[in-house]
Amino acid sequence: MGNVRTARLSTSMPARAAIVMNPRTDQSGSLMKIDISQRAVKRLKEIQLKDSNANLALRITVESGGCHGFKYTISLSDTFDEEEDTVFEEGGAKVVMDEPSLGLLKDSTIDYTTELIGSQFKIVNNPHATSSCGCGTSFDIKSL
Amino acid sequence: MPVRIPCIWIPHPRLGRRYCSLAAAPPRPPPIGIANISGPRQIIEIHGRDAAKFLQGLTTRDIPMLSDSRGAYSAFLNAQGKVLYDVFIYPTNHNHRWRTQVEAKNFQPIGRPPIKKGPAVDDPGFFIECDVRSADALLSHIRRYKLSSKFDSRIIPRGEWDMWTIWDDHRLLLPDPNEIGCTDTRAPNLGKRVAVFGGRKLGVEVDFTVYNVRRILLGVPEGQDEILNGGNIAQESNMDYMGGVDFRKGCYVGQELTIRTHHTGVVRKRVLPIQLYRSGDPAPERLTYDPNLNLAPLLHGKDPNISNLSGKRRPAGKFLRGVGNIGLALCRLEVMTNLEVGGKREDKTVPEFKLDAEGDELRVKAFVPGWHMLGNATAFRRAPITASEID
Repeated sequence: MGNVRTARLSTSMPARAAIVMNPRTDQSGSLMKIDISQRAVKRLKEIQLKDSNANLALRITVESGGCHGFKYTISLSDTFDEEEDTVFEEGGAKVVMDEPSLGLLKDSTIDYTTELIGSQFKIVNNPHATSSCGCGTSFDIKSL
Repeated sequence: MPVRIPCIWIPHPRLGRRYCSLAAAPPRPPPIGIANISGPRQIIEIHGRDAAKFLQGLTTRDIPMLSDSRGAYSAFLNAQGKVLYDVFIYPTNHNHRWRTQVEAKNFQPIGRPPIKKGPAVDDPGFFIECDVRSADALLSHIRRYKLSSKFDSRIIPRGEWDMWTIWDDHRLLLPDPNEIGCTDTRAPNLGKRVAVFGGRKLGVEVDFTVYNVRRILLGVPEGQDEILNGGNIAQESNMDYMGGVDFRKGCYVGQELTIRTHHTGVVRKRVLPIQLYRSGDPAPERLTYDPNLNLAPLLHGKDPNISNLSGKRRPAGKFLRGVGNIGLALCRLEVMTNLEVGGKREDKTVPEFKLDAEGDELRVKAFVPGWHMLGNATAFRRAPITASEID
């Protein structure tokens, strides 16, 4: 499957990630999914290689705070909580989220952006975000 | 025995206008007074490992600056910077009654099936005092933003913990170190607020309507009728002057607009105390409360917009709430007062204004409280005076 994905022309084209642990459904009963862009996959694989830890995953947590109510915190993690965490995998790269965070980030894309001020993982195209602040780490959502 | 006076202050849908206009206005507030304000106010408790961090991200005051009996006036804003709920936040961990209550909840009797323990007694705990009518909405607001934060939240029923206010016109009152409460910093000598356990009485009380009269005389808005939910920015409700916003803390919801207005913007509207008088009477020189002149009920259900006597220009302000012959209104400062807002102003005369009322129209005069001239009351941190001090 990984071979098919790498054959894509655009490297930033997102792909729907496979759920390898704790698939969860939202209130309407549909499966909560995310996309991981090829750039993000590439970068995550590099990090795994550098730390020689194939279990290393990108942990994305949503906390309250920031100027718009919710903010993302992104960290690396190689331990998963059996109860709370949902793990996504795309081409060997893993992304892990707890349930409340996934509820707010479902159908978003995890991307790795390279800009003049620095390169970073970013959550883009969150369909539930209504507004976000200047720095882009804080956002508001439609009322649940 | 408490003085019970029926009045429009009672937030009750069945108390119609007829009932109110027949009732007398509450008496003048005594110079020293005690009032149980649990009728119009409600306490929400939040307690757990992440409680302090959670409140820091959601409210306008710097939570780590609070300690023991030093609670704070604060607010919850929405992402657009409008005030949703005006609250007081009190730390609870130092109070032995609160600790006993938590320990009793977490007590595990030997030989009984294990109970589900709540947060530990040393985890940060807070009481959030808000308008009784917005308590449910505030609790769901808190739960919406809770996500994976670890804390418990609940509405404290009346009688378990009650809110009291104590005032003295001539003295700054501080809560005892072991009390849950704070000095009410919104205006000078407004008094102190204390949470009291188990329905205990603090002394000979006056009705909370008397507290409201005193509050309006000082020009302090409180609750959903006076600080409209999502309607205005913090400055328009004087929250900057009342010490409700810490302009030096980091990100919180609604910070962007609040801080931009503070540093670069101009506040054109503010809540001011007003006096009502009949069209034949001379305009009042000073704000004076007359309980025998019960004009406020005549405004019930009428257009709240205050207009110029000619009535042609856009509204000069919005009437919020009244009692007797006084009230609070959101006033356009350049129109209703002689203040300069933003630019230079040549003509400083203030004309008369009117409000639609039952039968007739009433005249309105706005007063700027003296404490507005003191400016921003970020009292708990001193600003550096010179450049060298910043280094």
